[in-house]
Amino acid sequence: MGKFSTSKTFIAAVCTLPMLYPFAFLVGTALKTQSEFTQNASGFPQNPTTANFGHAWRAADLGAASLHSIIAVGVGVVVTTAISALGAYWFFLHKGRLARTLRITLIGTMALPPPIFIIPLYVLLSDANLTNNLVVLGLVYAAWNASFGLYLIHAYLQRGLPTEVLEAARVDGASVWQTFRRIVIPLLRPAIATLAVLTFVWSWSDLLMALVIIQNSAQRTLVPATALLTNHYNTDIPANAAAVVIALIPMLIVFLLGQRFLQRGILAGVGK
Amino acid sequence: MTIGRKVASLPRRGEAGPGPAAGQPVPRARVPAWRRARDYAAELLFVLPVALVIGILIVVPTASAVAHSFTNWDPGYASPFVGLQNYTKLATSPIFHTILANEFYLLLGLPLWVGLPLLLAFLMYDRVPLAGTLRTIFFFPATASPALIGILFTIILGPQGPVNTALHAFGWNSPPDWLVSAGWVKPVLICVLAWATVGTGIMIFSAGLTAIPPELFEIAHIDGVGWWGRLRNVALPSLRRIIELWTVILVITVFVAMFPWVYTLTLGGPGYSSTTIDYDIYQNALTNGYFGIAAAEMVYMLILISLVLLTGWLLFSRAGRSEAGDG
Repeated sequence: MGKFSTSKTFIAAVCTLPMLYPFAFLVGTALKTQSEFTQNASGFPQNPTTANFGHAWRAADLGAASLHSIIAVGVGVVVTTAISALGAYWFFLHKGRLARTLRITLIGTMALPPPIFIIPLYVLLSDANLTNNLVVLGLVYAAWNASFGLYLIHAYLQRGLPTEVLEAARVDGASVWQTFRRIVIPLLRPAIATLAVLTFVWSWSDLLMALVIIQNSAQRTLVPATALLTNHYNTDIPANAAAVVIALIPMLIVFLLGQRFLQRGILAGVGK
Repeated sequence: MTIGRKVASLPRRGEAGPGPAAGQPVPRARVPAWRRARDYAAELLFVLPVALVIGILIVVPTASAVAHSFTNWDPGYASPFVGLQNYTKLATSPIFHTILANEFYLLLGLPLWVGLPLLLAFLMYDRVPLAGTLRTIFFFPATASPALIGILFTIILGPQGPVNTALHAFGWNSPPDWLVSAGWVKPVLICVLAWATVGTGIMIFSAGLTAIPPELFEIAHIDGVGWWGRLRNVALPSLRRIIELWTVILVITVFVAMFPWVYTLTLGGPGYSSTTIDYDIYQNALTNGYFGIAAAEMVYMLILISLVLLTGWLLFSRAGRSEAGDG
């Protein structure tokens, strides 16, 4: 076989165009005035303007919304990784029938999607006056991601943690906690990074849970704020496009930085 | 403390292979029981957080949904028991029938959602420079928020958007309004989902292809088997389990994760022609206040998920048996 195939490369490259064009169109639209968009929707912007970004930013209070997303998703990422790593290590040490049942049950909650638990959870949280609370939303993200986190980190420990090392640490007088902190955590770094990136992407993307738990407009996170803005501002399409660009930028940055981890995580999820 | 830990965990070591001290006898009797109990209790602190968070925030609400599906659920007020009334109401409701029909209509997208990434992954399998970069371009939309992508496509598919502008230019004077046409809205959703899922599919299939010994393809090539033949007769049989797995993931996505797409693209309309079960749960509970009906829909969704997972499990275990039989 030859070194590379011109026809295959050409076809593959052409196939990426439909993937790239919508984003180019989005940025182009965000840079147009409303009247230019009406006259020339799909062409290149003739007199690029950044006014739409300011307009969208103020109309949907995207600065506050970004901050709220950072809080909720931050809590989600930190709590998910912490409780998954701690739990997975316990399940690595304890393999009795009871521990095994508990592990399978907790990981099995992966099969319970948000539409099934979010409404009854909202009712329970309202009774306790805990809705419209970004930390609570972060904990919900953690509960939603921890089942996968347990699975991922437990599988990683099973494959990669040599029991001899734990044994040596114990003989040297290290407590379980010390062993966890000094030996297990450093070994788990790649798995924790994978879980952190996945949790970030999935929680930052979320619309349903954020809409249900945070109904007060003053506490809104970025994706619901953008979705509600575009529902209210349907006529100002360039401003909608600008809002989507603003909300996508953090996702693009994390994607570019953490792509390797994302791929690894998704492949681990399908058992590769 | 240290000795207690050592004893409590020594028998487990056998599972992961013998350690350096494997031959030594276990001094179990020397460790007082209270000490072992105390250490065990201390270790419970490792598993308690994850068990509590998942238990309180997911398991309890799910149980509450199941329990309330048999009541006329009215949060904050008495919720009288009504037996199976919510279930029979749904089962005889034309709207719910439309919603289920929509779900199965969307599943018609499966050949596209599986076939497209399979073809592209095989296309980029070899002799394509920068294949990794190309895969990255496909992959980004798959990781971006569905709600944001949905908003983007309302603009692209809107009356002023580039799709209709292009169709105009090609001479179609009144192209359909894709997202508000009862006939077009579901095929359009299928296409948007194809766009949004193709990157993940390519990644999974590419990983599957690299697991196939490359000699198989080389031998087929030398024997004069063409590109299509190598895809059909070498790649497809080896990828069967991954294809089944990807199909299960897609079916579950259609049953449980359509909310952001429907919310941003169509609001379930026109009428109920693009309403999915997860969107209807949200509408019934939070817009209409029919919490009992919504709870019964959650249980129906749970049943659908169980059926899909059961089918998937049967497929996998059958495949496992036949592989074992072949070997």
